[in-house]
Order: sequence, then structure tokens, then C-alpha cells
Amino acid sequence: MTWARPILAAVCVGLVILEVARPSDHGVPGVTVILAGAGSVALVGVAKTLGKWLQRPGADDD
Amino acid sequence: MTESLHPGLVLLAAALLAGVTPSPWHRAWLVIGPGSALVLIQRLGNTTETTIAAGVIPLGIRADALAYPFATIFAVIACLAGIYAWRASRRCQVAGLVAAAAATGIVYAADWLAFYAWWELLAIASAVIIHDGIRPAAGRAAYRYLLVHLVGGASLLIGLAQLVAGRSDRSVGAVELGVPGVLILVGICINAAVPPLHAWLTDAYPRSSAAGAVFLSAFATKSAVYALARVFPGLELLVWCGTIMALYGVIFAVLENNVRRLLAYHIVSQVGYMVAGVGLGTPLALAGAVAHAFCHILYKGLLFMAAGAVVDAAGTSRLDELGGLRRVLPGTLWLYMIGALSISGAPLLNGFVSKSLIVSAAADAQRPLVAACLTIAAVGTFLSVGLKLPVYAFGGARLTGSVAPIPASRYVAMSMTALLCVVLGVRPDWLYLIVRGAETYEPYTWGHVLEALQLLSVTALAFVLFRAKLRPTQSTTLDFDRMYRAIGRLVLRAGDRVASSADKLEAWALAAADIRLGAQPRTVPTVAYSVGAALVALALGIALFARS
Repeated sequence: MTWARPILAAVCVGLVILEVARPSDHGVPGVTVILAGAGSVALVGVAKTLGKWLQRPGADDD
Repeated sequence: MTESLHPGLVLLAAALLAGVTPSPWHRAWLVIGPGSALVLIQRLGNTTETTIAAGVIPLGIRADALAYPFATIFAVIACLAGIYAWRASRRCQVAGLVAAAAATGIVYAADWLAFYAWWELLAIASAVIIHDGIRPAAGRAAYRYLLVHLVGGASLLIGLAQLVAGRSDRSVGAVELGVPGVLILVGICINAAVPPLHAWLTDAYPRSSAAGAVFLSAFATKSAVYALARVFPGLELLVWCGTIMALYGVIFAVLENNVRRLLAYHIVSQVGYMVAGVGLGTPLALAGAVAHAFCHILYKGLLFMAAGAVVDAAGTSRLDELGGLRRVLPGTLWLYMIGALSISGAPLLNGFVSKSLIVSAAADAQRPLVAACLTIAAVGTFLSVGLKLPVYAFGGARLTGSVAPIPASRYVAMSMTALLCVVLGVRPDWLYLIVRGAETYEPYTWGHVLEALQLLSVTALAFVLFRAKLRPTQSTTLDFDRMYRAIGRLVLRAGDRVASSADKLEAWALAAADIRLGAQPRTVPTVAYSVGAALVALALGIALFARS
């Protein structure tokens, strides 16, 4: 999926440019991108950290 | 005041007829029952009050603007789930109709006693649905489910008994937080799966049958959301409970390897949005909570339908064992993606409309932290339901062995549900005809659509970057249910010791009286203690209710 990285990055940048070019009355431009980026990093980080404590190897049968 | 048939009783009659009609004709009741109930619900509308007496239980109907959308969607999903369950066991079909009847009864209940009766019927019907699932784990999960809900029901009953003590008015309505209010809140929060009282949900739903999970996902938590909106609108505590639920569910979903447990964690998360909306209490937030419950029942039903079809076809529910299904189940992939994009809040789908209603209501109420947390929860939703699950279940080429065909009835049910998700996403004004209070809200503004697209594209980029960390592995995630089971084992062990001590005392007493004991030692089944304790709590509640 290496090919998808530059495409998705370009789409994200393009959407921020669109927001700056045509601002709406719905918040500060770029906030959603920052929130989504920081949020996804934080979620994966928290989940993996919790996983170290809470996950056990083997399938959960009951 | 008008006279009308109770839609819940119509569904109960359909369940009874589905149980006694010879096969395969009994299946007709799966459509006729909910269809008739839906017609009655539309006739009742949202401004009707009727009274129907049925023995000691007063069956007054209050069909107001809050009850109408819940009753409508319960009848719709009962019909769709009935089609999906066309080839399921008769026990699952009958219990599904009873659960639909009970959920409809809850939303129309005008009297606390009727409310409680329907509430307990829903718990029993849901336990039967779970018991019908994958053996032997389903039997044990159903037992645990029943225990948790008996405790919740006892808390609710004791709270209601204290609430109505000495009052002539027993009509269902808003309650202040006092001792009765807290007991009622705990009882409802158990059904709403508010952490740490949520463990029953992620324990039981993955162990039910494919059709059973569709019925379960629709009724239990959503009737609790209705109850919260009816009894505790604007309660500040619920704002934070809901926000924590939204984040808690997605964090555990990211860790999950079991397809249906992953979706079960997302019920916790999505119900969190509704609970937060109820807690915010503004007209827009309440309308958002109801609209989200309405839309959630559709897209979550679709997701459980597709996941159940995949699990039954592939013979495993573990993501690390799935893969490559896009080639053999392309139709299921497309239908699943409609549900996944809808839950992620993608434009042109119903989840976009209802989710943005709640987030906007939080922003309008000057609660930026709540709005930010709910937005981050939406990121986690797309990450796990919209990307991780389809990439690892349908992508790649790992699955070995044959894939069983999916019955046509399941495709019909999934297609109809997906169509409703799209229609309500494209025409939110049709949703507003059912859910009152959001008519002034316009979801398709430049700002809203751009925000949603930014959120989805950044999350997709994050998934591509962190894909190695999100790879499913064969593992068991410990949640609160492990703690409850450990406590339960301790209680049972303590009960065993008390019983054995009592036996010894009895033996000593008999020996002292010089009476010979029988050859067989007496043993008390450990299950009896927990059921007995729950029944004692229930009896206490009933006694208090009777006294009042």
C-alpha cells in the first residue's frame, strides 16, 4: 500500500487548501485535519499500549 | 384519547403464531407481524394517547414525538431481521419477534409497571436469542447475560418502587437524581452498556447466531437510549458517560481480532454518541440522539448482517484467519462498505446526517471538548470498521478452504437495509419527518461535507502509515467481563463454602441426635446460588412495588 501514501497525503493537503480558499462559518480551517491526524495517532498509541497489558496470546473461545 | 391495538401485542401474537404454525409457513409471520405493527404505529402517529387494559398490567400507549421514531425503526428492523433470519432456527425467529414486541412495548409504555414488564421481557427474549447461538459458549454467555440483566432489572424495580411509593401518578416521565433516580439510572445504564457495565454486550453478541446478532443489535441498547431520553434528558453526567463510551468502544475495537466483537465494541461507541446527546439536553442534541439511534439501528444491522454472512460462509470469525473474500463475496463486500461508510459518517449516507447532528449540537452548546472527543471517536470508527475489518477480511489472499454460499434471503435483507441507509443519507428531510426537532438543521453545508472528507482521508492516510501496528493477531483482550467473572467465581466459591459449612453443621447436629445420615451427600448446584440471589432481589423489588 506504499502507492496509497502520496495519493492520500495529496488529497488531505488539497482538502485543507479548499477549506482555506473557501472558508465556512464552521470552525477554524485545518482543525479537523489536525484533530483527525492527532486523534488517529493517539488512538493507535493508546490501543497498542493497552494491548500490552490487556492482551493474551491465543483465541478467545469463552 | 383513542382506542387502538397495541403494536407490541401484535408482535407478540406474531411470535406466538410463528411458534405454532407448521414449517415453512411460520416464516410468513416474520414479515406479517412487523409489517402489521408498522401500519399500526403509523396510524398511532406521534400525538396519540390510548389506554388498553390487560389484566393487572395497564397497557396505556403514549405515542408522542419521542416514542414514534423508536417504534417505527423497531418495526422496520424487525421486518428486515426477520427476512435475514428466514433460514435461522425457529427459536431465534420467535425470540426475535418477542424482543421486537418488548422493545416496542417499552417505548409506548405510559405506566412504570408496564415499562418494567416489557423491560424484563426484552431481557428474557434476548437471553433466548443468545442461547440459540454457537454452542457451548452461547449457553454460558446467555446465562451471564441473564444474570447481569436480572441485577439491572432488580435495580430498576427497586428504584421504581421507591419512586412511586405513596404516589397515585405512575406515568413514565423525567426523574430527579435521588436514591430512586440513581437506582433507575443504574438499571438503564446496564442496558445501555455504559462502561464498566458494558461487558455483557461484547461477551454475548459475538456468541449469538448471525441472525440473532442482528436482532440483538437493534433492541436492547436502543430501548435503553429511549429510556434515558425519556427519564434523564439533560443530565450532565450522561454527557461524560457518553463521551467516554464513544472513545472506550473504538479503542477496544482497534485491538479486537474477532469480527463480531469488533462490531459489538462499536455499539458501545455509537451508543455513547446517543447518551452524550441525551446528556446535552438541547432540542438539537436530543433530536440528534434519536436520529442517531434510528440510523444506527439500520447501519449496525447491515454491518452485523454482512459480518454474520462472512462468518457463516468462511467458518471463522477471526480476522487473522480471514482474507481474500472480495473475490468470492463481492456483493457482501459492497453491502458491508455501505454500512461501514455510514457508521464512519461519510456524506450521502445516513450516519453522516445523524452523527453530524450530535457533534454540531455539542459545538453549539459551547462544549468544544465533547465535540473534539466525538470527532476523534469517529476517526477510530473509520479506522477499525471502515478500514481494518474490510482490508483484512476481504483483502489479501489468505483464506484457504471452501466458502459456503450465502442464502438469497440474506442478500435481500442486506440490500433493503443498505438502500434505507442511502435513501436517508441523500434525503435527510425524510428522516426529519420521523424524527422531530431537527428540521432546521442542514447537514449538507460546505463546511460539514469538507470536514467529513478531511476526517476520512486523514484517517485513511493514518491507516496506511500504521498498518503494521493494526495487523490482527490471534489474541484475547481482557475487559471488565474477566473481572466480573472472577468476582462471580469468588461469590460461588464463598457460597459453596457456606453450603458445605451448613452441611457439616447439619451432619454434626444429626450425629449429635444420633440419627444416621443417608448414603448420598447433599450437593447444591452452584448455579442455584446466583439465580437464587437474583430472584431474591427481584422478589424484594416486587414486594416494595406492591407496598407502594
